[in-house]
Order: sequence, then C-alpha cells, then structure tokens
Amino acid sequence: MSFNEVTVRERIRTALTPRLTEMGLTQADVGDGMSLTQSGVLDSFALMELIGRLEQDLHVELDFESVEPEQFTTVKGLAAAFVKALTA
Amino acid sequence: MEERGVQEEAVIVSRPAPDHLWTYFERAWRTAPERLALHVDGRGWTYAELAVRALAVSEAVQRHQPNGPFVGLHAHRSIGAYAGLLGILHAGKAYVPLNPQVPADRLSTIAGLADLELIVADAAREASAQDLAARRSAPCGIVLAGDAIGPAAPHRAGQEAYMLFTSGSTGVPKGVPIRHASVVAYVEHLLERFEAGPEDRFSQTFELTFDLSVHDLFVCWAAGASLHVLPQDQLMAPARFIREHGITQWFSVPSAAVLLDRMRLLKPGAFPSLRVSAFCGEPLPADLAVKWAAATPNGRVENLYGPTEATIAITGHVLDPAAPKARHGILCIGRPFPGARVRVVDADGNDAPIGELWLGGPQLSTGYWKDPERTATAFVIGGPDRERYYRTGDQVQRDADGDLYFISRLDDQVKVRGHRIELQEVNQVLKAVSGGAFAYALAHPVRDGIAQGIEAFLPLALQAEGASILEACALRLPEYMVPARLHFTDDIPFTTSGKADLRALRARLEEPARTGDR
Repeated sequence: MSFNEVTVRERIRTALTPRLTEMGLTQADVGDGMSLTQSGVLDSFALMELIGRLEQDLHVELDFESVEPEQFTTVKGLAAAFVKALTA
Repeated sequence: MEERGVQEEAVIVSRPAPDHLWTYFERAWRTAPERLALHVDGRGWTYAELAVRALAVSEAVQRHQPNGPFVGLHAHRSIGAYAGLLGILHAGKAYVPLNPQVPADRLSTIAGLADLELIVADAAREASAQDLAARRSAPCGIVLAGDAIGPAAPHRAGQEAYMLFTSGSTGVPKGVPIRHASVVAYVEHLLERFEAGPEDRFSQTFELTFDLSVHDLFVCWAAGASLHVLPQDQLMAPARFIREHGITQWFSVPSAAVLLDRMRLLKPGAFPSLRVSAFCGEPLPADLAVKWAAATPNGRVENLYGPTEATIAITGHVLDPAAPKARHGILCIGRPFPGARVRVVDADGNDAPIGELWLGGPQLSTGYWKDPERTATAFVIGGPDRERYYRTGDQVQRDADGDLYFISRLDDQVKVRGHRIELQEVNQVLKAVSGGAFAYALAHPVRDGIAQGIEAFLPLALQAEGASILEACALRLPEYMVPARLHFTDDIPFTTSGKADLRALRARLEEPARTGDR
C-alpha cells in the first residue's frame, strides 16, 4: 500500500466525518489549513485520540519531537507529518 | 513541613511584604530595569519597556475616572494584555478579564454584573471592545493598551486587585473579588517555597480568566524574573517551548502533562532546565507526576490545591518520586500554606478525618460580588476558633501526617481540564436554547482521574435539532462548557429522592453506542 499526502488527507477527513456531522458541518467547511483545535472542531484531547487512531490504522508513529505544534492541528500539516513518518 | 529539596539559605532577600501587587513589579523594575520581564507574541520586553506601557494605561484609566472598583481587560496573549493588567492595578483599580475566546454574550453579561464603565483592550481587540462597550446599558469607555506614552503618576491602592467570574449554579456567573492583601499572602509564601529569583524563567500557560495566571505574573515579577507566554497553538505541545526558552518554573494543569505523555515526549531527562514544576486545577495522577519528575531530573514536582475564593492555591505537596503519597492513584494535595487555616468537617459540623474542606486565613475572598445570599451560604463563621471559613464543597480525607487527599465534590460542580463548571449552569443554558423540558449534563469521559468534557441528555423530541442546540450553546458558553455530545431519550432514571440518577446516566455512557445518540 502506498500513501501520499492526498490519500492521507482523505483518511483524516474520513476519520473526522462523525464529529463534523455532530456539529452540523460538512467536509467543505473544513479547509486543509484550518486549525482543528482553534476552530472548535476538536479539543486537544480529541485531536490526540484522532492521531492515535490514525497511527494504528497506518501502522506508524509520529515523531512529535520534529513536528511543529501548530502543524498537527491542521489536516494539511497532519497529513504531511504522517507521510514523512511513512516514508522515513 | 514538606520542605524536601528546599535549601536552608533563602535566596530571596528579606524585605517587607507590600500592600499592593504593583509594588512587586516596581521593585524589580527599579532594581534591574534592563532585565527581561516578559516574552510574548514573539518578542521580549524589559521591565522598563513594560513599565512605561503599563503607566500609559494607568494614566488613561485615571483620566476616565470610572466609578466602582473594576475595569475590564479585553486582551489576549499580547503586550497589551500584560501592560493593561499592570496599568489597571497601578491606577488603583481591579481587573476583570474579558477573554476574547469567550462568547460575546457571556462577556456582555460579565461586563454588566461587574458594572464596568471602562474596558482596557489590546490593539487587536479594539473593534470587539467597542461592541462590548456599546452593549452596556451605562456609558462605557475604551482604553487601548500596548503603546508607551505618559509619565509616571502616583498610584492609589484600592482593596481589590481583580475579580474573576466562575460558573454559577443558577445559570449566571459568580464574581469573586480578590484583595491585594490576599495575593500578597500567597506570593510571599511562594517566593520562598519555590526559591524564585531573577535568573528564573517562568511559563505562562493559564488564561487571565483563571486565577492560576496570577501566580505566573506576580511570583515571577516579584522575583525580578522573566515571564514567557506560550502562544495559543503551542499550549497542547509545550515541549519545544520549554527547551527553547530554558523555562525553569513550569505551572499548568495536569492535562498538559497528559498530552505530552501521549505524544511520547515525557521522556527521562527531557527537560533539564526545569527547577520547579507545579500542577494545579485538577487531580494529579501519581504515575504521571512520577513520569514528569523523571523528565525533569534537576527539579521537583509540586501539587497545589485551592479554589478561586481562597486565592490561587492554599495547600501544597512536594512529590517524592520514590514513594508518592496517593489515594486511588491521585497524588495528595498536602498541607495548608503558613497562615492558612484548614478544617475537615463532617455533616454535623464537627472536625473529622473525612469531610468537607473549610478554608480560612488571609487568602479568603470577601465574598461573592453583589450576592449576599450565596456569600452567607459559602462563607461562614465556624470552628472552635470562631473564625471566618469558606466551605469549598470539596470532600477530602486527612491522614495521620496531616496530609490532605481530594476525594470528590459534594455538589454538581465538575472540573474539565482545570476549568470549574457548575453542571446546573450548563443545564440552564441547554434548557433555554432548546426549549426542552429537561437537560442533564455530566462530565464524561473521565480518564486518568481527569474529566475530558461534558455530555448531556435531552428529550427525544429534540433529536433533529442537536447541531443547532450545540451551535446556540457555543454562543452563550465558553468552549470548555459546551457539551461534546448530546444524547436524546425520554427514559431518564430517577433516584428515590426524585432527582435524576446521574450515576445511572453515566453508566449508559459507558455502554457501547446506543440509538438516539448524536
């Protein structure tokens, strides 16, 4: 299986869907560069849970030491961090 | 006393305790004007630079001559926030934080409750400050903070230093005014306890609406040290910030440590710069504290406890990583600070090993703002000493050594990531925005002894309106009080006394997905 940023972004968006539905939002409301925590979509604990699930799905662990904190709160930044970990 | 790790020779030069918080700042400014006082929003400010900006605010506040003891502070993690706070104090007024992250409706309510006639704002919040002022029924002025102008004017000391609003069970926030003298009693002890000095570099994680921020600002500035404000987007992952700023004194809710641990960043030796790490605001799991201690090999871990009504924190415990004192995995909250009085009181009002914690001494608030009824219920004269005590509503246990352990709340108050929430206030708002006959909120899920959020039960007929109900809540309540999830059912279990059986409702949340949830 090969992953690139587009497929990983799709995975993240799929994982977010239940939460978005709950909030009355659609995929279109969440831009790739939008902060998921500051926009109120996820709190920091829910974000860590999402990351944990993705780590299990993709059989990889993120290196939080090298990820900028502001990076993993967006779909775009998170996808980039996963692709980096998957190709390392 | 638990003075493990505290050196015999005190670092702090002996000097009289001031009667006003500004004096702490002024002493450091006069001693070393070119020393770093603050790092916020990407740059550093010396004591002199911060002082002239604070004095400019003070002068403007005095020109406005607002009636009443309180002035609003509508600013966030900016030079204007800190210059504004100091300027209000210098002008002899007390500050009421109006956190821009809180919905405008709630800020407007608070501005009304506190009778604000003046709001100090940072440059980025000028427009929303104007909106807030326009919504006041009485005239309300605006002062912009952050620029350096104006000479030093003599300050007149008011009694109060700040007023914070906590969640109220009737649906209206409660104002808790705190006097300079109460903060000074706290700061004097903490300077010594944490051996704070000019070389220290303090973290600033807490919102100004949370009284633990007052520790960050005034223990730091009283020591002549520098304050390092975490940018919003680094609060959940402060590892790099701690290292880049060489933080020596860390203070946060335990949740911050939980997140670092989940990111696998709480590794042994990870933060060698930290001398003191203090946690407060929610139960501290003992195993987490031990991990933090291993990550900070040159420091010690302190668990502090205290309600807003008793000024920041009033008991403390130094962790012994080899033998942590804990009960059900939660670290003990230790013993009262010098000068504080503590009683553990059973249902009949007698001293007992397990019971409600009553607090007395100089750190006590004068009572709730313009609410004599609730003040009379919570602040009582009692005990053999016939002293004034605040009834915390916290159930605690005291062991043979005199160390206290938090057990539970005696009422509907819960803590979510350190924020104090009256579930009744959430219920009132849910009922108001949904028009439903009932609403039952509870803290869920609870992991590692820490509540992660709020969930609520509403009538089944409202099922289709879940998203709009949550949206309406978000306009009236701060983010941490908005339920993460709504459950719709007409089948509410009741206890024999006719109250909703929250324990049974909680048990349902532990079950796998049920129909009617969203």
